[in-house]
Amino acid sequence: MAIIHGNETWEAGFGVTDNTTQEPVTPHTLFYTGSTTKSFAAALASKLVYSRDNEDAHKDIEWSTPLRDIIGEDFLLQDSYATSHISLEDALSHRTGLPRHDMSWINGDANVKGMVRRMRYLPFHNEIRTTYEYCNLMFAAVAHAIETATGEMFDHLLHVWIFEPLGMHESVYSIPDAQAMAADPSNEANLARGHLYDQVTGEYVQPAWDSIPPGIGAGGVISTVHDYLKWIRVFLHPGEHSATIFKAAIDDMTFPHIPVSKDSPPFKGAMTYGLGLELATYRNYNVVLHDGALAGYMCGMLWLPEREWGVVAMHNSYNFTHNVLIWHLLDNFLETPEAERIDFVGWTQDLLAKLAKRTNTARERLYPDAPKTGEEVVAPSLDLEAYEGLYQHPGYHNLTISVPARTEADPEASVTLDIAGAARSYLDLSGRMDHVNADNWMFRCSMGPHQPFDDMGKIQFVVGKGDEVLGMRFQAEPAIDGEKGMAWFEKIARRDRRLSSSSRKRLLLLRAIL
Amino acid sequence: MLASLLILLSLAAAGKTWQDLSQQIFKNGVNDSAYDPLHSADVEAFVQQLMHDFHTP
Repeated sequence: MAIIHGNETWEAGFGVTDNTTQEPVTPHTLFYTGSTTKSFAAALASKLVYSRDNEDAHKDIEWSTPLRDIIGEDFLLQDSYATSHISLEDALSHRTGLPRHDMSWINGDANVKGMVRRMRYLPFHNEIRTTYEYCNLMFAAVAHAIETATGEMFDHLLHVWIFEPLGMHESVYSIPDAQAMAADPSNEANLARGHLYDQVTGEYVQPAWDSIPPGIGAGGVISTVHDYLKWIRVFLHPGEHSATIFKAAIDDMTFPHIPVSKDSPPFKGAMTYGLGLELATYRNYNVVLHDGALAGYMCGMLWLPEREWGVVAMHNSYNFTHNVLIWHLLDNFLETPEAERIDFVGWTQDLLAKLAKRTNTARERLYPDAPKTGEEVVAPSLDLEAYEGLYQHPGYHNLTISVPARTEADPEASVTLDIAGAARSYLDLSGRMDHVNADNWMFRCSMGPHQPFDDMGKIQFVVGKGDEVLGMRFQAEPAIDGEKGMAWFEKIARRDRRLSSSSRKRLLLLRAIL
Repeated sequence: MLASLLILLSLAAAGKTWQDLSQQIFKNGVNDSAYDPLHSADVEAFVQQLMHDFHTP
C-alpha cells in the first residue's frame, strides 16, 4: 500500500507474493489492478477528444460521439436507438443500459472486436441514460474505438500516452510483460500470484496464469503501488501533467455522469460515476475512487483532491481487505474520532457472509415454487443421456452437457456443465448441476473452490414433441429477472457416445438414482 | 533552539503544522522524515490482523 500527500509519498509492503515461495511483497510488487484499469481507458479516450490536430484521423471525436460512428457495423445492439446513440461518455460512465454479460467475454477470447460484435446478441436491462448499469463489455467497445480511431493497439497507446510520460515504468498490460519485468534484475519489481482461499480446506489456490481473462479496456493493467501513486498524483495536481492528460479531461473524468446510489455509507449523499471513476463525499470532502478485482487479486485507489491526499492498496487475495485498509488510513489522516469511524472489518465480514448466504439459498431464490424438502420431486422428462450434447448461443461460449462416470470417489455423479472449447476459464461454469424439479436445474458459476463470490443460475431444458431436447434456457445474466434474462441455447449436437461403450452402463445406474 | 521557536511561531501564525513544514522539506522524493502513516505500530498491527482474519498471504 502507498500514500501520497502533497509532494510526500509513503510506501510499504506486507506479506508474501506467493504462499509457496514466501517471497516478500514490496512497494514494487506487481499486482493485477482489475477495474481500476477503467480510469486509464477513460484517459486514453480523452486523448482522442482533446489532443488532436487537423492531421489526426480522430479530429472530430467528442465525448458525445456515438461509438457506432467510430467503429461502424461492429457496434450493433438489440436496441436500434442505443446502437446509434451510445457515445464514448455513455460507455465510460456505465449508463448504456446494457448489463454486465460477463459470461460473454470473460472466458478465453482475447479479441476485442469479436467481443464487441457479440454484443448484438445480448439483451438490455434498462433504457440508455436512465440507470447506472456496470458493464465491462462497453469498455471493450471503447478500446475497440480507440484502436480504430488511432490505428494503434490499446496496450501500445497505454504505454506511449500514459505509462512512459508519467514514469510508470512498473506498469504493463500482459502477463508475459509482467513476468519479463519480474525476471529482469535491473529493476526492483517482483510479481504476486493471485490467491483464492478455500473456505473448506483452509488452503490457498492460485488461479493459473492462462485462466486469467484478457485485458479489454475494463481490466488488464498490472502495476505496483509505487507506480499507482504517480497515477493518483495526476489527479491531485492536474495542471502539472497537461502534456499527458489535459486538465479539462480530468475535470470530465471526475464530473458526475450518472447516479450510482442514493445512500452508500460511509459516503454522505449520493454516489455517482464519472468516466472510469467513482465519486462520492466523505466527511465533507469530495472523494474519487475505484476498486478492481480479478483472479485472486484486488486493488483499491482513493483520493481527496482538496486535501491533495491519496491512497492505493493492492493484495493477492479475494476478500476486500484493501477497502478496510484504505478507510483505516483515510480516517487516520482525517483524524476521525474513534466513535465516528465505520467498522469496516465488521462491514466486510457481513458482506462476505451475505454473498455466501446468497449462494446457499439460491434454490429458494431461483425456484420459489419448487418442491420443498420432503415433497415429491418430478424426474426429468427424458433419460439423462438425452440431455447430453453441445448447446449454442451466438452471444456466449458454447456449452456442453455431459454425464460423467460414477466413481468410488464420486458415487453421486450427475449431469455436468462445461464451457466447450475453452482450455481454462477463470469464471468457471464447469461442474455438477443440481436438479430442482422436472427439467429445471441449477448451475454454479464459480471463481474457485468454495468462494464466497460463487453464484448459482437457472437452467431449464425444453423438450420437443418428438421427445428430444431442443435446447435450454440459461440464466446467463443474473441482473435481468424473468424470461428476458434467460438466454436460449439451441442444442446443436448430441454427444457422440460411440467412443464410450462403458458409459451406457453408467447411465443405467444414473437412471436408477433418479 | 531560538530558530526552532521562531519556526514554530511562524508556523502558528500561518496556521500550519509541522507536517506542512515536512511537506515543504521533503519534496519530489520518498519521504524520510520520522512521520510515516504506513509504519506506525497501529497500522502494522492492523494490517497483520487483517491478513490473518481474512486469509491474505
